[in-house]
Amino acid sequence: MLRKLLYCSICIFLCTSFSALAQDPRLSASLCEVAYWECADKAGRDSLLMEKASYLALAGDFGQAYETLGRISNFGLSADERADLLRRKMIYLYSDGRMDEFCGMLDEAAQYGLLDGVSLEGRPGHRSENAALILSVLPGAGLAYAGDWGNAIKYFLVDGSIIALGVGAFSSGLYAATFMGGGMLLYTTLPRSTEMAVEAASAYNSRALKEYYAPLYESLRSF
Amino acid sequence: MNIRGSLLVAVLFFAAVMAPGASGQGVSFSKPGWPAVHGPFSWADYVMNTSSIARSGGIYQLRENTLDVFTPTFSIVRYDASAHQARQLNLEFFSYALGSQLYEDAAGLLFADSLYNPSDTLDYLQGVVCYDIHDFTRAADCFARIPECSPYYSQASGFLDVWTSTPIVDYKKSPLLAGAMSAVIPGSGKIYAGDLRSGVSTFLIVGALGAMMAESAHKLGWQDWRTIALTSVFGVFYIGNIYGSAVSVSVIRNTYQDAQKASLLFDLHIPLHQF
Repeated sequence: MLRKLLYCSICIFLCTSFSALAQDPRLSASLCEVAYWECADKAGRDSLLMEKASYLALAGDFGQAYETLGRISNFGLSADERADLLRRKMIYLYSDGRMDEFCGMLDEAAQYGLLDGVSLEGRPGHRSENAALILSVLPGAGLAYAGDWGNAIKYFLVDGSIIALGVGAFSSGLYAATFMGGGMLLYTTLPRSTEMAVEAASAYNSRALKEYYAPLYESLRSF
Repeated sequence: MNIRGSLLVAVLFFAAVMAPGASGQGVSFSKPGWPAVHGPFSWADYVMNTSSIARSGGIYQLRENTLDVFTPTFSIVRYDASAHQARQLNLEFFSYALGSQLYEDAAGLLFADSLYNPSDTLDYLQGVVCYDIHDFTRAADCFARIPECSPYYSQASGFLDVWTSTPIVDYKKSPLLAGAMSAVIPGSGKIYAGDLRSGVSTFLIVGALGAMMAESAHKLGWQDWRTIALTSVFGVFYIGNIYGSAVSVSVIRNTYQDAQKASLLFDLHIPLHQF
C-alpha cells in the first residue's frame, strides 16, 4: 500500500513538473537566458542558447528561436557542431516561412553535407509579381493569376459593378457621375486589389518554395 | 425611392466599404483620440478622413505616430511558475536583459506567478519593463504599488506625475463654428480646426457627389431614381462632413495632448533604468 502511494506521488510529481514545463515553454526559455547569463563557459552558454531556441520553437516563436541561434558564434565550434547549428537555423527559418533566407543557406548546407541523399523533384512553382501587377488592370485577374481566388471573385464583382454602373450612367448622359463617381470608386478599389495581387504572388512563391523544399526540411529534422 | 434606386445605393455603399480607407487600413478607431464609427455619418467622415490625401496630412501622421508610441510592443503573459523554485531577484541580470532588449524574457520572468517574492523592487522592475515595451497603463499600476519608504519611490512617482498629468496645449477652436463652416463650404470646418488635408479631401468628395447629384437633377429631374440615389449618398456624406468637422476639434486637441504626453514620457529625465 505504502509502495503504491509512493509510486502515485512520484507519478503525480513528474506529471505536474512536465506539464508545467510543457505549459510554459516561453518561461523555460527565459529561465535559460538567466542560466546563460550566469554561465561563464562558452560551451555551456552555447548549449543554453540552443536549449532556449528549442523552447522558443516549442512555443511557436520560430523567428525568435532563429535569432537566438544567431547569437552563437561559429568560432571554436567543430565542423559537426557548425553543421548542427546550421541545420537548426534552417529548420527554424523554414518553419517561420522565411524562405529567401532559407534558400540563402543552401550552399553552406551543401558544404556540410546536409543535402546528401535529399532528392528535390522538378522546380518550385512561380508567379511573377510584375505579371500580377499588370494583370490587375482587369478586375480580379491579377489576384486570380496569383491564386487568390476568393479575393479575385470579390474584386471582380466590386470593380465589375462599378464599371457597369459607370457605363449605365454614361449611357444616361450622366457624365459627371460616370467620371467622378466611377473614377472615385475605382481609385479606391483598384490600387488595393493590385497591392493584394502582388502580395498574393509573393505568398504563392513562398508557399511553392516551402512545398518544394519539404523533403529537405524532413531530412533536416530527421538528422 | 423604388427598388432599383435602393439597389444602386446598396451597391455604391458596398463598393465604398471595400475601399482601403474603410476596410481597416490606416488608423483604427478603437484607439483613444479618434471618434468611434457608430453610424452612417461617422462612417462617411471616416472614409473622408482616411483617403490618400487625408492620410498624407500632418495631423493624421502625428496621430499615427502617437498611437504607435502608446501601443505596447507585445502583451505580457503571466506564466505559472509554481513548478519552479522561487528565486532571488538578480538586479544585474535584469539590467543586462533590459540593456540587451530581451524584454520578453524580462517580462516573462518578472510577471511569472510565484517565481519571485513580492517586493517593491519587483514592482519597480515590472514597471520599468512595462515602460520599455510602451505598456504605460500597466507601468503606472506597477509604480503605484511602490510605498513611500521604498528607495524607488522618487523614480516611480516621477513617472506617475507625468503619466497622470494632462498636457496643456494652446489650441482653442469652437466645434460649433467648425460644424457651421462645413455646412456652408464642405471641409472648411476641418481646415479651420487645423487639418488642411482632411478638409481638402472632404471638399473634393462632397463636392464631387454634389456635382453628380446636380447633374442628375438637371438632366433627369428630382423624381428619377438615379437622382434620388445620388441625393441619398450625397446627404450621408454632407451630414458626415458637418459631424466630422465638429468632432475634429476634439480629435485634434486629443492628438496634440497625446503627442505632448508621448514626448514627455520619452524625455523623462528620471533615471528609471538605474536600480
